[in-house]
Amino acid sequence: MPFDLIEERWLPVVYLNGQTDDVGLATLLHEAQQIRRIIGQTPPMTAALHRLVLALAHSVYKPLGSVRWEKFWKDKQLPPQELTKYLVKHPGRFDLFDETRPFFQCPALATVAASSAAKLVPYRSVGNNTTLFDHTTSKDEVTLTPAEAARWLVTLQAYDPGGLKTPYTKEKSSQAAPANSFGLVLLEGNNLLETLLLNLMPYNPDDEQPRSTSLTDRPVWEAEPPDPEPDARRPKGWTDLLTWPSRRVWLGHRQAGDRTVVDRVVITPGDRLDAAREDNEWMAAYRRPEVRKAGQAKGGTSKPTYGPWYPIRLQEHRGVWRHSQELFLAPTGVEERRQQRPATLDHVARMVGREAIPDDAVYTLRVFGQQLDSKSAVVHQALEESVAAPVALLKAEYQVAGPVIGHSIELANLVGGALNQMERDYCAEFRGLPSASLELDYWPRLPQPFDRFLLALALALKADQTPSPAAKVWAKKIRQIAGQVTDRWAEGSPRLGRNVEAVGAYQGRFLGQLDHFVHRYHGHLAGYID
Amino acid sequence: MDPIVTIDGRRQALVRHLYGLHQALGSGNPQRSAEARRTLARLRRAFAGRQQEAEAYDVVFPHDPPVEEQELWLLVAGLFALHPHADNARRRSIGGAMRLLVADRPSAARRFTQLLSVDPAAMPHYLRQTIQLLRSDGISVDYQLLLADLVKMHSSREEAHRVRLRWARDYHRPNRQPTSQNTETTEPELTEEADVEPVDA
Repeated sequence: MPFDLIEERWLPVVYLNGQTDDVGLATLLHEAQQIRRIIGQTPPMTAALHRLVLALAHSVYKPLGSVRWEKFWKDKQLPPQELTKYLVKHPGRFDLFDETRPFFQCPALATVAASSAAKLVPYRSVGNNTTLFDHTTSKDEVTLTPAEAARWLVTLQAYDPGGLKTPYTKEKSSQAAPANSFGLVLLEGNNLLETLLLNLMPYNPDDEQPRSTSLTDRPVWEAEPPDPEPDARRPKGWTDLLTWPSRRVWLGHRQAGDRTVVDRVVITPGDRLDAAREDNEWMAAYRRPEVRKAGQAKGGTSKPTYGPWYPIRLQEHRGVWRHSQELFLAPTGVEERRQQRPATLDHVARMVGREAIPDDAVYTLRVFGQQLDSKSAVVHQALEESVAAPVALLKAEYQVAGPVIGHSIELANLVGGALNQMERDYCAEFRGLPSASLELDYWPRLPQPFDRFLLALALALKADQTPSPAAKVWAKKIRQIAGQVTDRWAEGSPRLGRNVEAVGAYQGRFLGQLDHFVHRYHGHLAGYID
Repeated sequence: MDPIVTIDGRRQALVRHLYGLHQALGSGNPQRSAEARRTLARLRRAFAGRQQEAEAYDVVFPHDPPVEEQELWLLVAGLFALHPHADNARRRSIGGAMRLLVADRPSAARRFTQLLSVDPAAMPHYLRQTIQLLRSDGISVDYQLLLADLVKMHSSREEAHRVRLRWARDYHRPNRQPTSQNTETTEPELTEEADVEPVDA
């Protein structure tokens, strides 16, 4: 029995009126105006589903240039006939159980011994996964509905951890799927249509747009079923990377009464990404650390050199807002490039420049990530964070935004570092084990004030006013939060004698540093804004 | 005397009166000076015991101390008599004063640690020693702040802890901008990236 992902209901969404439902890809694209967002069961699933939908939209509406994009944006609709035309051109590519071209799978694997369908679902206990919260054992039969299986299949291709897999013939080891290595950035609008369009940058393989996209670029479903042996290759382009087949998968299904269930799965290593991420992956932000050569004085005048590019990733407790500079800001152009924002934001900035998007709009930057263990084989946790994204800040002409945001984040970093040091020094003096309790109390309280700071900064820059008041409020907030954190730490448990003296000493030293940092912050900013 | 409504105002009036005694000492008026000297002697004697304490009543009670604060008011009056000085050390707590003392006399550091260890009941004895030490080096202290701190210390354990912490902070407050050798992280990239470097299987 076929399960056509275009028509069948498998994508979990929430409508603007709050109602939740599952929809097919066709409904998703054509009713996007009424849908608030796609809501996966886990953050990686949400991210992976967005990637798939974006790949489909790119393929259906290509070539997509600024003019056509503006038309979609103004019409508040994606033209329905284009999907029909596309499906006529590529018939039968979206059936999950097709015999020759099962969606996102490798039919040749049908001959390999299959394991439980629980393998597809990361939180299920299966094989050597520890049984902790989920009490599935290898004797239990796990069955998934086709919709569930499709969702997890898409998630697996983007987020499967690395490690040893059942081999097709010999090759067992697999690299973690590509999306594990960066924080996936999605700019979210007021409804799904806006979200899709905001992330749908100009796409024209004939013109090599976006960069690194070749003429042969295609999403996975347009390609022939893959060779079951693993491969290492360069991506052909953006839609190829969005639907990267990092695993060879085959879903075994059977009829259970009047419904189809997926009860077995084969997962073997797939294509290994053999390309520099910063030249191909556009939903990530990157930075290059400054490398100081031995003997080079700090703050010296010699030209700085930069190390390799690192993608911005989500970290526990710390908050992705600290990377706002890399996430938002256009490169300044005056020095060697050391940060690269997601390419979708360049596109949005251009649309703001063309006045298609009003420059007082405020969207949300959602960042998804998954943390693996040190061997990249076990999922530690899935993370999702968001930062307010006032589009005014995306424009390159506000050169002052970079240093102001940079110094504001540095202030938070310095204070966070000093807090941590204070606690570590205290613990060291009494031979205690250091904990991270102060960090836990400090970092999670900063995202909201920072969002407010960004909004105030954007407003000030747009109105051609000094961003000083916004910076002052931010510094005051940092001082207040850090003060409360240390007060709670110092007053948390009654101490006496040398103990209380040491706490007072460290707290006193910290408060001195805090004054110094805030003072220096205002000093730095004065150089740019007054 | 004008009726003073708030407790804080009454405490202030007592401490002002005490500073007035010091002023009278150096007023050049032999009668005023002698009178002040006698009063201070009476206040000092009040430390000798319950019976002698009554001698301090006529200095303290006109300022209408609340019953639960009487002992503390008498204590501060006595401490002032041990080390009378002008009102020239606003906001200088015991911690701040001890910082100045220890800068000259490192051996006094232990006294301060002791002072932070004792519970409020034993505090008068240690405070007397501390004030005598400060007198020997001519370091003044804000008596009004001291009275307020002692009242807080007696109100609850948490408050007592907070006051001790503040004294400790004042005691250790750096005299100049910190060199912050441990938190100099103006270039956080290098250390920070170490744990975010992607790890592939």
